[in-house]
Amino acid sequence: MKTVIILILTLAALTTAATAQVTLSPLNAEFGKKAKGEFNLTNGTFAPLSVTFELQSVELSNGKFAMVDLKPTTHVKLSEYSARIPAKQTRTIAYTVTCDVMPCGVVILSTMATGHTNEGIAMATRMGTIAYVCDKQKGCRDWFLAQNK
Amino acid sequence: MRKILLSLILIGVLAGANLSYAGTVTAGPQSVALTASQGESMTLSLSTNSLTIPLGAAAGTYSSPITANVAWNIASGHVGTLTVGAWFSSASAALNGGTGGNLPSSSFTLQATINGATLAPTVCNQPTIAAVSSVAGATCIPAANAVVLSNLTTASQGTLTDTYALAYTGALAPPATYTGTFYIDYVIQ
Repeated sequence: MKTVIILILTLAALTTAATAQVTLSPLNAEFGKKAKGEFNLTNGTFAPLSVTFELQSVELSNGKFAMVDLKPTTHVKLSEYSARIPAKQTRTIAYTVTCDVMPCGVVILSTMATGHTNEGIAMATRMGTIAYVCDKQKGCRDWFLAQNK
Repeated sequence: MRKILLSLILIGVLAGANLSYAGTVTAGPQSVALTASQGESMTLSLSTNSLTIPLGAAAGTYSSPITANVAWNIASGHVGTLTVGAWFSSASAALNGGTGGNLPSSSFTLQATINGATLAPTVCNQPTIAAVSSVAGATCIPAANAVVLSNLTTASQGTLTDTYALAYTGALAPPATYTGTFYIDYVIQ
């Protein structure tokens, strides 16, 4: 009976290892002129997770949200541009954003893939955290959304 | 007998002394300030990290479905939409076969069930979905179906379970080992 339970637990662990599970927090942040923030990525699997980061500007047009190429007036620095997160670990990524034109919005996209695929299609997931930057921090997101409608 | 009597008297005196102390030593209630915060978060999990698609004689057969579980815990103030995107990184080379050449994204068809609704099979040559910045011409979900929820303007928690299956529907591919990456995005705006 003990052998069966151990076998079931092993199978469960192997099954879990084959999946990808990522938690991103926070989903957005608002800043004044000096925008220094950070976000966390948690690898919920038993396998290491490779992450790459991509920067895009965000816009709101006719009430519809859109990601576009990073505007030349927006400058972003990340503490790292790729990462490998060990199993069941959390990595904190720091960033600074400066904008020549206020307000501005930046999305930092985290693209994550688990394991390596020799044949077939590798699955990748992508989630983003958005930084809103204004002259004043309070109410920045609302102001950004109002300005861009 | 005398010693026993003296011992009993001594014990009695000490017990009395202890009782008198117990009556005078008191501690008033102390307060400890507590603060706690819960940030917004979103968790995305996939049932598999790779997918094998039948080529050759079994072309047109859908792969095993991939299950995507999404969970969110958000505050109020968002635009309020949850947008999904499923796409390849390249329209001309969705899968690379080395000397065998490339397989374009238009050779693949996606069958998806999103938020309980089964979408019509869609060839992966759709325009970009701006809200997730998917690759133009390599996207597998029509823009009209990309917005899954549009009522997330207030603080809420929720989950979604969606499934995706891919089929190769192009011409017979040359013998080779093909590899590529398929992206699934979920973005709360």
